[in-house]
Amino acid sequence: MASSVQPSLDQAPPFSIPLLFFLTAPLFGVIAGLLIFFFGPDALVSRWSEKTLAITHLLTIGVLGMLMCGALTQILPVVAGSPIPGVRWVGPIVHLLLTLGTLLLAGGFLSGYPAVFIGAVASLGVGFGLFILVATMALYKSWKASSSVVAIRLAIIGLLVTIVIGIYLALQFSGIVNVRNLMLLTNIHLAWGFLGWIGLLIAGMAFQVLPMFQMTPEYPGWFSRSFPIVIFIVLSSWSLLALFWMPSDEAYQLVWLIACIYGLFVPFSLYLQHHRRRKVNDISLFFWGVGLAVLFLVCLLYLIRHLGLWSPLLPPFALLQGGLLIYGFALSLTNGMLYKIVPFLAWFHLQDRKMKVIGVGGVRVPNMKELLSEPLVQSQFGFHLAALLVLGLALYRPEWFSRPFGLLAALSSALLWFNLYRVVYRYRRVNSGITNFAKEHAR
Amino acid sequence: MMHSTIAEKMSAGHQHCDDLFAAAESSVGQGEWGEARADFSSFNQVMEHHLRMEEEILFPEFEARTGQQGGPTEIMRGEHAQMRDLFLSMSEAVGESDQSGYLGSSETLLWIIQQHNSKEENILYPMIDNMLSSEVDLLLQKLSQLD
Repeated sequence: MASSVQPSLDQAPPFSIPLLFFLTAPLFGVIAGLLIFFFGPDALVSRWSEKTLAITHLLTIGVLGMLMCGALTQILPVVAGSPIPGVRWVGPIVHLLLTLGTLLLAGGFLSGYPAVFIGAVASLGVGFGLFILVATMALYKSWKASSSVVAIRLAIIGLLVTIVIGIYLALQFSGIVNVRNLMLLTNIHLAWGFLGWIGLLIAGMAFQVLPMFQMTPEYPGWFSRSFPIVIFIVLSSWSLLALFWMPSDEAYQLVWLIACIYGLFVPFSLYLQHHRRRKVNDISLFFWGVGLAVLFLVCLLYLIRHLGLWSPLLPPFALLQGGLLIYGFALSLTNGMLYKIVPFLAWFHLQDRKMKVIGVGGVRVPNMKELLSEPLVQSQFGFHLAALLVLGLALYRPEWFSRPFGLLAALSSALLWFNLYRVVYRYRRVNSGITNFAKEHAR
Repeated sequence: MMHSTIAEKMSAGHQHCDDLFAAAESSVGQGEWGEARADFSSFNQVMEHHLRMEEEILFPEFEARTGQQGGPTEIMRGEHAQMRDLFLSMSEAVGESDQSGYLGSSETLLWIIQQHNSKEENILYPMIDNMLSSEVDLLLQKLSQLD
């Protein structure tokens, strides 16, 4: 890429920018959980019900989209060596538009008012559009096209495709356009959202993060280089074939191929993890393990269904797949990630400020583990795991288990928020300690 | 082992430091304090030597060539200072057989080291190799001679 660009190495955004995203996301998890609790079985019987669509988008945009955008503001400077341009003002604007847009979209599904959908389309379109623009500018300037950078670039294209189709579908709900192949377009929208955007982004981060922080061997070059590209090509081919040439059933065969490729990601990651040089276990690893196990389970379910072995006694496939991928896979991984990235950023910004204002000694900056409360983190893991198990039951017997699932999911998200807020509270206290110390010694 | 670029030599150094870090952390995790003190001390020595190679040889050459004092090397020196603060906490913790204190600081150190190394390996070292291409052999020799 443009090698004349001189990268500066101090590109981390202010702590407040990723934090805006990280502290908002769990609140959408609380809202989604409470809605499931109030709606009961209605929330989990069909993927086409307005209630299910509202809850799904609170989780995918409000929680996952929010977290991914926040994480990218922080991770792009390190992984790609180039910051998001204007992150200080772009960050809060994107955050505001995503928050507003997610609430409006959920409100649109629940109320059915066309004007609310139009508001949602405008907010999310501009919010994600702006984010895609600045992320693309950062990635274009990136020095090194490592496999992580390639995966992240393709993930951003995946986000673009997801959003464009999503806007088109939302306009259908507002009555502005009349979508002919609604079901197929919806499938393409969610395939790009899961496999293209979230899946590739998580893979791209794993290629980099697993060797760094777990000290595993690197993913083999042929795998990490070809994985994102193969996924992207299969996904694009399937979408185009299904839309323009083949009846969707035949084209659908390609989708299970994507599932198998994702399935490969799991044994590779577990193998690498088995050979890691670090031997210390912690809670983030458990979250990561749960996420991978669920991903593998979903791939197996795909295979079972493809072989025609899906039994009518089992829950509807689409709901099971969606529930497991969103709640079991993506939310587990991002939940674990938050317990590392938020304490680290708090420590980093405190330590950086202390060194600049006071120098060595003076105020002691608590380390990452002191900033978090381990027992509370462990209980949140317990709530998350319990919610996941009850979700499995709720898809099987919605009339019995959907309310307990909603309640557990809301509690788990609320505790996650509290645990993160506690880090920020301690950050603020130490930060004012640094200010006071500097004032006293300036006299 | 012979290396032909700064990026190769210094990245191999990072790998070595990572190995020693993992060994010390694992001894502390198992509560083998005798071993832990020895492992930490060799990790600390090798890290310190690596930081000095940068601060005493590579950064000054880079600064002289680019005329940049407040640029990338300034940020890197700042992060080195943050690491040294953590070495100190870890050294105290290992001396007092304080397991949770050590593991809290070492986890934090690992995070700062890894994002620091990633910036050096992907950006700074390749820049140094590029800018000082005619002097790389001389620089490699100087680096090997630093005690």
